[in-house]
Amino acid sequence: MDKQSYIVSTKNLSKRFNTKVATEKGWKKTTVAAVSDVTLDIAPGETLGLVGESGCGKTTLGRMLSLFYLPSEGSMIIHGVDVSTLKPKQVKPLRQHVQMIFQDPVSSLNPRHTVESILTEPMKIFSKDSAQVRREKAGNLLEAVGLSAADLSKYPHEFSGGQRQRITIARALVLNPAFIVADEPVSALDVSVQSQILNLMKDIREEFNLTYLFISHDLAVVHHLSDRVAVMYLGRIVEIAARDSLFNDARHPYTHSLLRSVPTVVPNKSKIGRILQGDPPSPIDPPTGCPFHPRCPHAVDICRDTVPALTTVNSAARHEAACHRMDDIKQQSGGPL
Amino acid sequence: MNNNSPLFLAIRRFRRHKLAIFSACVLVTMVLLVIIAPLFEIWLGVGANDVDLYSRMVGPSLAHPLGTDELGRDVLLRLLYGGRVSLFTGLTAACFAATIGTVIGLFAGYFGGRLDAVLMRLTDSVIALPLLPLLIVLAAIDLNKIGLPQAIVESEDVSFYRIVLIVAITGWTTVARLVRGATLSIKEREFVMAAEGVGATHVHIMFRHILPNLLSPIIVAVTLSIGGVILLESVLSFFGLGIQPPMASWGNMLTNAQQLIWEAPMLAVYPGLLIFVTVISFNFLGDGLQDAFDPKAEY
Amino acid sequence: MRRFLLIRGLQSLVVLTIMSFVIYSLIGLMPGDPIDLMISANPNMTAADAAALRELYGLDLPVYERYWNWLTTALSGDLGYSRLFGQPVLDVLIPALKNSVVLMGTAFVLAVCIAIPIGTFAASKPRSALDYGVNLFAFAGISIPSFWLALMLIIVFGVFLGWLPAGGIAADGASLLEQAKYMVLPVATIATLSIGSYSRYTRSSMLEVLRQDYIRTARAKGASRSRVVWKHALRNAMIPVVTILALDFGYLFSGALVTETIYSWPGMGKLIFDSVMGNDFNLALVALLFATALTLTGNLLADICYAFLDPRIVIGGEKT
Ligand SMILES: Nc1ncnc2c1ncn2[C@@H]1O[C@H](COP(=O)(O)OP(=O)(O)O)[C@@H](O)[C@H]1O
Ligand code: SF4
Ligand SMILES: [Mg+2]
Repeated sequence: MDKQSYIVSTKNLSKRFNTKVATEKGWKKTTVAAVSDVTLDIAPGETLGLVGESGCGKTTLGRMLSLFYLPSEGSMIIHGVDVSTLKPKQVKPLRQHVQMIFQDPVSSLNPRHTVESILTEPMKIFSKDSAQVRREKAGNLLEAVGLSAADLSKYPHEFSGGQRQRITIARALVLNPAFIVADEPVSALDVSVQSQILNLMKDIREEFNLTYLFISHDLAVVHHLSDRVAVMYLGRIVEIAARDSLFNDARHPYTHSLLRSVPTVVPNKSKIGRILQGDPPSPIDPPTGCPFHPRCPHAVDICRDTVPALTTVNSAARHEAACHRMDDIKQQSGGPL
Repeated sequence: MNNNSPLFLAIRRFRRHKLAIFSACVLVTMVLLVIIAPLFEIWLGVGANDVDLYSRMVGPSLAHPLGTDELGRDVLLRLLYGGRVSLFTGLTAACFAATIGTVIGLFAGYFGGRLDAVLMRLTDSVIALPLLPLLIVLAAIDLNKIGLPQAIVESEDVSFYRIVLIVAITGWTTVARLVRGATLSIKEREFVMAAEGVGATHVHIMFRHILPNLLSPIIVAVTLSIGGVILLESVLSFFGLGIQPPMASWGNMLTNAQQLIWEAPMLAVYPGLLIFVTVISFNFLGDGLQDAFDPKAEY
Repeated sequence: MRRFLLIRGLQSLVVLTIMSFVIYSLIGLMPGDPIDLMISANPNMTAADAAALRELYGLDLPVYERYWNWLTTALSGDLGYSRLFGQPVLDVLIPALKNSVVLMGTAFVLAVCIAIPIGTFAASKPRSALDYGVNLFAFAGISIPSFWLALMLIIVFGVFLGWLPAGGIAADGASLLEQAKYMVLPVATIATLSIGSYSRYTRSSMLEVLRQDYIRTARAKGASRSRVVWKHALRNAMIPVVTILALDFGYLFSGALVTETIYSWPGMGKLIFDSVMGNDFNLALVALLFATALTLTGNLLADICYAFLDPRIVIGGEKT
């Protein structure tokens, strides 16, 4: 497939933020490398799951792909447009093709706006429909996500968490986008409603021909929805593969420890918890060489010096991993899910 | 109305504040009275500015329920018309100041960075100035010298506009700080990013998404500032620098009262008492609203 | 800490410089100018004379040039001559300053001595009659027009009862008692207003501290509420209060414009008012600038107090 026919295609994408850290001598300005050197493609209609511990850069990558952050380095082609050459003002026309579903359904809906004004706002900006038509479209969308057109005049606080997330999904659909980034869309919800929302996302994927980047720290959820899965560690993709290849034939020691932490497919029990010794290193001061080496049981000298590159493991499954020793440690992979 | 809407909860909390409710009633009565002031003119058969040198400083009577002043004008009527001026000045100037403060605070909080630094230094500096002496200078400047047309300088309402403007350009700082702080926290909420994601402009986000979430603290701040504005207006008018006679204001009614203490002591009492009652009512009301809108108790 | 002080000091200096220009320009916009005043004093002066004089005094120059001329002269120590008093500006300013400090200082000490205890008492017994009383008094203090309060006090004590002088200041060399008589009413006026705001601050700051964990722990260990209030909480509750007090420091010197004017107390506040109203340009300019500089100092002081007293603030890395 050539680059232009992917919905998303990135090369060596990085994002650094300026921050301050507290030191003995007061606040010091530094940069934090939230995302480093990410190269990936997402084909039309595909769902790419993105997993990793909290703080590893999933949200940052998701926000770059949904045009909220411009990359510090590298290129990204989204919906056929090379974003890295655009000025901030030129991004706007592209926005209708890329939408985001947020994690927190409380803070992602303006408490002072009615559902109608939330859903019609994107239309007001991008189309010339009359108020009548806008209202009708908004009503239809609400029905498509399992609410009723009568809810249009209500305020967000009148809905439950699951219903609110349905509203944010409807908002993401208003502009008929091709690509949706869903940043942990169910992790703020009760277990009982999580699967309803996941099924809804599955249904609308077929109905609206969507491509997803699905971010989660819950492997069971990712397994449920993804065609391919990428594992992120300290800002880098350390392993990426077709779903079954990743779950059955993982090569990276970090992926192994993630998989070992999944005892069952019961949601919530499978969250990536404290499976590893200690916290991940800080992206402000990342380790040299393989980012995983301070916690990796297999680390050897080369791991401390050289960053392992993503190498193809299995080209049929488009399976790649970044570990110097993956051939030595293949046998120890976590069992099938 | 929905039984647990934020507004409903706020109203329920507000009802606990007996003093605030009482103050609201006092203020509503006062506003109604000054609105129907012309009816009192008809009833008494004199105008508020009608001079009658044959009945100067007479005591209360049927013709003059609160007596007359040193020029024989009816005190009740002047109090009512003075109240019009004082209340209207207070409201307009406070709203005007709040508007300036809101815009400055929104821009500073939303864009952050250097703009924020500059605007906040400006705010700090204005706060650190000795307000009253500078207000006196502003009130004393010659409008001819800043090139205003003669027609405006001599028009009747110019003292009113001047005072509104003076208060506004010095009184916006509280609201600016408040709005900036609230904007900083609200812009981190995901609905702001969501609006950006559907292509909304910065101005749209600031005024349609963030501002509506700031209305309750702004309303509280405005209510609390009205009292201060009325005090400022009254003191400037008292010194002859605010509302100019013959237009009555509670402040300028007191200007000559000191000299007339022996002849007509009540002339010094009524206007001051009204200022006091009005200002304290606004303060109680603002205090009650603050509690009712307490963000910690919301939702 | 030194860095912080330096930056804040420089900032205040910049503001002061900007304000000196603003005030200079504003003063120039007040009715009449020195030449007009000379014309009204001397009917023989012709228009040509006036123009010549304007040029002589540099009054035809643009405002920034005039400002620059004034600034360089002022910085060289020549603040000019007061028209109203017929004396050099400094000779007028210094006695006024002294009078203001005496008046404001007395009122300040009195207000603090009353406000902090009653604010603390109110907080130690929330919702008691005392608390409501203090609250009511505080609201009254911030809501009463100062000039009217002064008028009422004069009417009652100065005129009807005749116990105290209605205004002015004791003649030089008068006895202490005589001097004090003149101060009672203005001090009472100023203190009433300050007690209102100070006691409110104390009360709310104290309530805030009492909500904190270590206080609850002390309470849980069996200390009585009033013991906790006076022994444990007072110190911390004073931090924001001291900041507010420092903020008012500038007013100690710049005086209370309204109160001094009504009681004819010859302090800085009255001086500013009289010089502005009396077209005394030189005096008004210097007095206003002086007041500005002092208020800025008060603000700086408040910042410093806050930084020193609040253990949570770390400046430049060192804990102060
Ligand atoms: N706006 C920002 N400014 C500074 N640092 C940030 C910002 N956003 C994220 N980071 C840092 O980047 C890293 C990755 O964060 P994030 O993308 O939110 O991770 P995740 O979504 O996987 O939890 C974290 O260390 C976080 O502190
Ligand atoms: S490269 Fe070395 S440290 Fe990194 S994961 Fe592989 S074995 Fe572990
Ligand atoms: Mg995240």
